[in-house]
Amino acid sequence: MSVIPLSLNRFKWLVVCCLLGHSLQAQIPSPAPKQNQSILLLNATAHLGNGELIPRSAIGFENGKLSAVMAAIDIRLDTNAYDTIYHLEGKHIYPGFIAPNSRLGLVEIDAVRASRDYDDVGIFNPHVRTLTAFNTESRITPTVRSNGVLIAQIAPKGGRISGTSSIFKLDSWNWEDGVVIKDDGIHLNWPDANFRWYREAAKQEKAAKAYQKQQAAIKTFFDKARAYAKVAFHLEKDLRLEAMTKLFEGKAKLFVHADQVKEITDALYFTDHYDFEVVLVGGHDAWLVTDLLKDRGIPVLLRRVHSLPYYQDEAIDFPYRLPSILVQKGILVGLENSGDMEAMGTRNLPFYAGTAAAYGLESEKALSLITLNTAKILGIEEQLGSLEVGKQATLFVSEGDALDMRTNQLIHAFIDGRKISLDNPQKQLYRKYSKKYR
Amino acid sequence: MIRIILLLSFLFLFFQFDAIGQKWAPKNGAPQTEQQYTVLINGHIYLGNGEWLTNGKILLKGNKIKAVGNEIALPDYTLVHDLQGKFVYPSFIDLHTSFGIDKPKPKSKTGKPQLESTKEGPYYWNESVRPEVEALDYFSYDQKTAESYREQGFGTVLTHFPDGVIRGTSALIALTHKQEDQLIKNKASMHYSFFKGSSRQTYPSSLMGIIALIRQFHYDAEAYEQQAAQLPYNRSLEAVNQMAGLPKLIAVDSYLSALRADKIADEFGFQFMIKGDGQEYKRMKAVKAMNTPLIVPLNFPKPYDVSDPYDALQLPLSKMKEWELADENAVRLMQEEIQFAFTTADLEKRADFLGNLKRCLQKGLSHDHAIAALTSVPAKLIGMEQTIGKLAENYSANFIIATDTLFEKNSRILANWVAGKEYRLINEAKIDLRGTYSLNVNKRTQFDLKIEGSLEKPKAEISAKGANNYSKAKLKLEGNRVNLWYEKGNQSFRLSGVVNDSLGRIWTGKTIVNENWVDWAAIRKSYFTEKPKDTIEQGIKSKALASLTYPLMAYGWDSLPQEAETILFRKATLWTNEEEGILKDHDLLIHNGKIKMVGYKINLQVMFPDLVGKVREIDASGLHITSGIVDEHSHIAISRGVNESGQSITSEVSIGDVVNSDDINLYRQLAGGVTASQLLHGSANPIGGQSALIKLRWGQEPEKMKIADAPGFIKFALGENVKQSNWGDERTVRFPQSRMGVEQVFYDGFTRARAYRDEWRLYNAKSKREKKKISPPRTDLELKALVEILDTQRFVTCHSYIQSEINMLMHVADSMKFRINTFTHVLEGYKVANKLRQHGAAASTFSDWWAYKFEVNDAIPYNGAMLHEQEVLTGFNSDDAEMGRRLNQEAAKAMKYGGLSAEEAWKLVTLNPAKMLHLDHRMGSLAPGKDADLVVWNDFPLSIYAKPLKTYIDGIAYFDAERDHELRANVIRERERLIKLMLQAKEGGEQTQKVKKEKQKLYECNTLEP
Repeated sequence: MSVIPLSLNRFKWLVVCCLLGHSLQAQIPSPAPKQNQSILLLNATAHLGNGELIPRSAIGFENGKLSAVMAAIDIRLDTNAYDTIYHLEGKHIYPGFIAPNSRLGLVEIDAVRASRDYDDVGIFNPHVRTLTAFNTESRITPTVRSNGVLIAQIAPKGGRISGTSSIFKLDSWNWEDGVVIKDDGIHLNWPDANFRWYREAAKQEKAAKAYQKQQAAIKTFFDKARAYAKVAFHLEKDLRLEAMTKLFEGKAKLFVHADQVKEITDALYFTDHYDFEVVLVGGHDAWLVTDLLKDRGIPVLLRRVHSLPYYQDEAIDFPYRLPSILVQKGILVGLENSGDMEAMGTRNLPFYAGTAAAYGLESEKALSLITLNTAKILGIEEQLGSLEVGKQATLFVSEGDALDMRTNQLIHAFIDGRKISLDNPQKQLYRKYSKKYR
Repeated sequence: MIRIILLLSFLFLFFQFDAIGQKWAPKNGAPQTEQQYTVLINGHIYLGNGEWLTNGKILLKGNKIKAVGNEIALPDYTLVHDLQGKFVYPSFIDLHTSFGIDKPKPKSKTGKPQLESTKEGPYYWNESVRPEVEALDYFSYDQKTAESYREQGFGTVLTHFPDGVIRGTSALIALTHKQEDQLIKNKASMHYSFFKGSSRQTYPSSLMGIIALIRQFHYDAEAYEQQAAQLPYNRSLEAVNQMAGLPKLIAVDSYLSALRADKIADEFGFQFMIKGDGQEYKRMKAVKAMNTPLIVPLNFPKPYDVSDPYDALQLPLSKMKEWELADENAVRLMQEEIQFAFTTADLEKRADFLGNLKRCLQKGLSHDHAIAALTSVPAKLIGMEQTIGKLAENYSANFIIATDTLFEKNSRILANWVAGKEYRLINEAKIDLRGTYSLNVNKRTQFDLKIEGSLEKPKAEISAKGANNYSKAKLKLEGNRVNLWYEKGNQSFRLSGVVNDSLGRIWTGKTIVNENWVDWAAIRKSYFTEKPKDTIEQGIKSKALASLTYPLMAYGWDSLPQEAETILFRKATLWTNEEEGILKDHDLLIHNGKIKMVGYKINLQVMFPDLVGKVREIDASGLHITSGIVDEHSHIAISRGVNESGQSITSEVSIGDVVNSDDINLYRQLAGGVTASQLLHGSANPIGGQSALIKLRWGQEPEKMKIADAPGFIKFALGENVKQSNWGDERTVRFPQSRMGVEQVFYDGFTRARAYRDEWRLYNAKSKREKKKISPPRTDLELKALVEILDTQRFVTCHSYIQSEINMLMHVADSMKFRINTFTHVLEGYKVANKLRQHGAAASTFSDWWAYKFEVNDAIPYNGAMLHEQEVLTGFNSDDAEMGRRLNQEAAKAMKYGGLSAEEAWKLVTLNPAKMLHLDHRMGSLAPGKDADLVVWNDFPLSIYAKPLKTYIDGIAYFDAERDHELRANVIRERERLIKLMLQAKEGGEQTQKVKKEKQKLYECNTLEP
């Protein structure tokens, strides 16, 4: 530390400390400062996220917003208007990928209880929210960012209603300045209709009844919440019902988690009773009920593409083909990644879209699965999800095709036009031990 | 007391005391004499082997048959039973029961684990091994159950204590309430099973543990026999040696386990009778090759209720086929000439037995095989073929009287004679009431009465005379007293009276009409005409048996591929993994399951004239061909437990004993280009079990999947899993619980292993003559495996994460003079890459896994590339059924993280793991002479867009994308066909079962059995 010149102001000192830090101790990169210079990315192939592609593009942004999205040969382009120009021949630009239904920042180490903050006691827990538990200092998040995932919906797990999610950009000092939408969705786990591992008929009956009961309990809770929401002031406050009012005011969406056809059907008919917006999460069997989904305009956040077939007899590549099947049926589809080793696996989200492209979907449409489609599903498409003028400059540059692991190599990444660090604790360890063998 | 009586009665029989001699048991009041002789006459008597005796006689005395024949000289004092042409079979024998013995209640499995035996006394160290148990000690005759057996035709059952791996000796019991006749033979057989039972002791926690335990126990028994004098007394070992000559019966859960049991028996030179699960049809050839008698249940699954197609989604084709094929098992066993007996075991209701037996006949099982499987075969299997199972002189007087042969759908067993005592099952009516009558009451009201139904249970209907508006009436016949009760025209009638003669011609009696007693009478108008016999139509003649696939599930083969193809791939991009690197526009020739040549424009006429005309040429331009992916760390295709977590050292167990060839994940991974895998034991203990090295020869049986001559491997493990860090608060008592302890487990194991090796070396060095004077040391399977490691006969793959433990184990190995072959996971390998290289250990790691446990917090995706660059032999493995499907993508991550070239990255999942497994002389690259284990890709293999089009193993396309598409269509067709059949069954009134949601259990390193 003694080598640091005294003339450095406090901020720069911090930056230097971070740069040196890796050799002393693994560090989470600091959030980038506000964009104060205009930037132009020139001549890269721009994948806009909305299905379009500009082979030699000019992407300009200032004050955190995209100001130019055009072909480099466009006569309107004034290269002199930009403070910094990156020449990116042969490179690829993408809007920041969006990971919905993620527990990033809610868990550090799956097996360590003390590091788990995504599930709480209780069945109906809408009042439990990820907003304040989201850890911006997670060692995992920078590794996810390095692969192009720049936005995430952080969602709770467990119970019937797990709680309320919020949407974050993955570069901030704390949850307050990282949040994109506070409390954007309430997460309902639809009960399992095939709760029958019993041999005896009597027990099977009981299980079937249990499913009826569970559904009735959901209906009762939501009806209560709706009634509660009609009254502005309550002498006796009910925190759970209070949390539900956002739904009925149209300020939050309901994310219904269900995979099998019976559950999906029951859940959709259940939501017919209410006016709020609904998103289906999981949705393995959604392809069987696309009409129900289309009639209601309900989109799907499809379960992990890299999964084993759900049923023993299912075709080996069915999970890979599901995105294409649903898209072809006219469903709005985004990809999610919940399951085992979810937090760390979020960095593989791009490759799920890559697989979707390998199995029937046109590449740019596959890209939409983790960009514009997800933005639309989460209700952030006005600001994020595609490279369009006026939207936030949340994007990255990759050496090559970012949906293929061979070529997903990030060179630059920007969140709100801020050039973020692509370093992470794993790269720091890589450097540290590379030195050992030099 | 009962035992004394039984013992005495046993002596009684044995010494042929005259029955009129002394009474051993005091009687309350004057004792009654038993009938000396009984004779049954006019019977169709089944003599076995298809022979019948018409109009035969059976003469009994006491519990024995004295004579069977047409002409028998009868003693004067003989009770005569006229069978009136009924059919007589020997009573059936069930070898797999726990009749009269209460099944021990399962003990609570919660609380701290119990590692050592808590059984007091000089018994074997494992509580699930109980050869000393005698069923008779726990036996108490159970009236009601006995009746349920007799109703199904059984007269004799072999009963054993149904708990534990080695369950002790059985008793052969006659199903009679007469105490002195109940025991036919004590200690009739020794019983084994592949189920641990109620023991709370942690070991064995897996099927492979059970198998190892049986082996070790037999080695211990051998040693005990040789060295009993020097060893402390052990009742269990003494018992098993004393009972060595008894027939051995083992209960298993699948045909796979039947094969496993047979293998153990072969090793020790004995034979098991195997009580299977009734699904032997799945792999009849292998079952036949065991040359071992089977005891099979008739527990046919009910059809599934698939009326809701959404429910049907949950039901795999495999379950549907099991439903379809269940009742064909017996006929298939017969066709293959496999010796088998039937048991009532596993039936939901014992009363279903005869009905299910008739279903077997319908499918083509011959009458004689069916009866043999219930009489002569089981009798022979327990060495009692001179006593039971046959109707002949001096055999036990056990037989059933049936209305007809078993072939008649409506034949019923009327009586079951056990030990000379008749148990009547159906009270035969003496009067046949069936027919039509004209009924008058009080001489005025007239009715028509119609009686139908069976002889024993006639059903009455009544109508106003001539009106033909029949309604039900209640009818009761006792002796010749008759009761009739019905309602007509708002009036209820209750008639009581008698049937006047045996032909039921006139009934007369009294009833009350308008408060007055009046007369009624029924006059017969016609007799009931017996329907023609409804003989079972045998499937074997009328229609073929259902089709089978290998394995019996979706994507199985109709018939297994036999011949390796001879193929010349033209103009392919060949990833040779050899010095030539990646060759564009080159040809590859495979022949006889081997790679014959890699070259540019191979000219067959010149180079291989003998192959001209035999070669299939494939235009592979635009395609990539690589050697097959080798997965160094896989846990698919394993039955009942990937971990033997019962002890810290379990080198005696082997995944090789529990390979499950019927795992759909084999096919799924084959479709991802995997051709060979090391199926590893889990990481629940420092010294785990031995591996199985297999090729994914989908459809073949386990032994044929194993790679012939593959070297032995074993799993070690370090860190959190072996410390049981993440397994709850109860599992905190097994040593070790710290990394300090882990080290000492290895020192303990190898110190003992060296002593063991010395002991054997000393013995082996002695001359033949010296050896005769002393007994060889005891075989210890645990230490034997460790000695193999010391002798470089077995290689270690060690689950590891952090650098300190990796370093530690290398030190242990160095000091004990062996080498760690491979560190697997080895996520902090990059921190000690130089040490790994120095030790000569390979690293088999994940591409990018981390953050799931505390010890993987410093894991980095650059690990693979860094190790590779430090010249450590490095590979990527799956450890996960899902990831095993796309290891090509995992390899590509080494390009992303760490910048390896595509060629080097590709070796991480092919050549390098092949080297780790010491199999690189036959796989891992495209070199002439190596096995033709190939993948044909549509694209650059490391690209996310790449798909395997074909996967060859030994030159056979075990996966073919085109064929896969046909199979998908087949699956849908087969499902539809079977769903239709099940719906028909439901509509036909069959009871159905609900479809259960079943998720396949997927094993990972730390998966424990519940």
